Amino acid sequence: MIPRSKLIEKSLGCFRCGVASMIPLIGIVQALVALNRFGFVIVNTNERWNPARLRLYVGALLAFASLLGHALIAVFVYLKITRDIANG
Amino acid sequence: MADSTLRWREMLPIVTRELRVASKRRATYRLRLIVALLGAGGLLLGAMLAGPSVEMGQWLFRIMSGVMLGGASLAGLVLTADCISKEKREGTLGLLFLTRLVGADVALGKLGVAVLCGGSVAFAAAPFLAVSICLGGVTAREFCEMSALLVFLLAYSLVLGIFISTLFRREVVVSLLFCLAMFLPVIATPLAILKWKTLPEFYAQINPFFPALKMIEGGFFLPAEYLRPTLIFQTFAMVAMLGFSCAYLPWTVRSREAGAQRKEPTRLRRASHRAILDSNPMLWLGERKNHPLVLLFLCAGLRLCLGFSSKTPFEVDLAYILLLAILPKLFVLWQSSGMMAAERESGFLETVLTTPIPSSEVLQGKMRAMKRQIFPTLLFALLVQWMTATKWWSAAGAIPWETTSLFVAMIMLLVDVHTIAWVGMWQGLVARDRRRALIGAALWGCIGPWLPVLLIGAVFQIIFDPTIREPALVIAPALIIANACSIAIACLAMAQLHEKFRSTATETWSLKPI
Repeated sequence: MIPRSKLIEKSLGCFRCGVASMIPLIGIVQALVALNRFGFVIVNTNERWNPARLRLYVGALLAFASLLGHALIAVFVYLKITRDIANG
Repeated sequence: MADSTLRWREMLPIVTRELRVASKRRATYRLRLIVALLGAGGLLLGAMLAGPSVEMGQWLFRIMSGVMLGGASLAGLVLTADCISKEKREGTLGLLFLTRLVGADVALGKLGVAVLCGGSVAFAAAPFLAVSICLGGVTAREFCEMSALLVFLLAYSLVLGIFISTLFRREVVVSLLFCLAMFLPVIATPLAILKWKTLPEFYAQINPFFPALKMIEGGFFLPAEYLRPTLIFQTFAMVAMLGFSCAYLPWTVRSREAGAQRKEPTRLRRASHRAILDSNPMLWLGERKNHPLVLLFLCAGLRLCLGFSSKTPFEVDLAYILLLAILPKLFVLWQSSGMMAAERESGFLETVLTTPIPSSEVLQGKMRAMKRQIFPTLLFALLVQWMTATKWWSAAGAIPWETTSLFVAMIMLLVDVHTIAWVGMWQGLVARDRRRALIGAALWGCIGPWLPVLLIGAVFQIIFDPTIREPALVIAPALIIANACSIAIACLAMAQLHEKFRSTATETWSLKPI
């Protein structure tokens, strides 16, 4: 079983990466790392008490928001470029 | 002779007893909230889609009718489909027949309770439908007709549930047969219209949704002249099903079947079992009930059926890829929710938790077993979609929008299957029984990701009132938001499952106080 200290560390890491994922472009990598850490902690907690649980969830939420924002912006940019190319 | 007559005085205690049980269930009270939320959602959607009051009234009428249509059709699955089969499984049906009760007492008593419960919810939802009269565009006559047709559908759904519950014993079988009898004719309707350009009368008669759908769609595809024969046919069907249930019910009481003889596995199969057992015991347990090739052959066989029913190759391709985009999700939905609910109900999970296997390994094993079950079908579906997309691409010479949509559908299929697997397991763990787990998983996994899309769209429409000429500007963000929400729901389900697995799996569902 993974030690609890490592789980807390990973939870704080998830929060840190979640906050960092708000940075444009670089944030995509940070969001993926945050989600990876979120999955790791969730699977290995085994119903033990995790004092950094709130930070874990906030980090995952921020990562999602970042990925969603990036995806939406990318689609709008893509549509704008294709429309400009079509209009010459 | 006197013993076989129906005694209303003896039927009423069954109704009273069942109503007492229902009054102590949380779901009875939660349904009010759900109906109110659905009504509010319908009102919001109506406000989003339309401008003038008359147009808004018409939209609202259609949307609310659609929502109530779904509720009425599912009422049978929730209220009656397992009411008699559950008594059979628990061995209490035989005890009822030791008293002076006859089959009709039991069947009508169960139906009476379901009618009261379902009818009260339908009555609570009716005012939302009536708002459309106040807005205009809908007459009081249309409102009354639609209400009557919805009540008719509710009655049909409940009677069908009683009929199937009388015939069969296992919960999984009754749920599956109910879904097939209720929804298969609706799924077959677009295929029939594709082939014959109109709906044949027989298809209309076996389709329980036909009368209400005809009212909603306004007679463009569904012929109005079939309405009367369909209503007569379905009324006779209801009477026949109810009569048969009353007569046949006493003959369904029997002792438990002896376990069937198991076939000895071959040496190769035994070695494979050993390897799986060593890697994860839960995977081995899950694998025992897997039939991946059956699902694959079912999907492949559908192509032949469609080949017979459609005229042009394009229609066949279109219908087939639509089916392949839906079927893997339905398989996963059925298996994930049903497997977990059945194992929790039988106490199997509690037994597993007494072993040294950690809960994360249990869940991992179950998920791997499910992935092994669906993998061939999913791969086949993706391959067919990819081949169809490239065929259309090569035929057009450029990337047509159909090809783009198919590529998006492939991504959505992958994301949705993953989400539904986790959500199904989560709902299977927390729901009271298999049917509730199925409905919960369908709501969270299939409808849940689209609700934020509708909400965001409604907010944008109300606040900014934009005029969008390009459909891509609406469809692309909608798909992205839906996929992101789908992944978020999968993560939520995964987190909930892992966090509450041990405490929920050991929880008993003996009528909690409200």
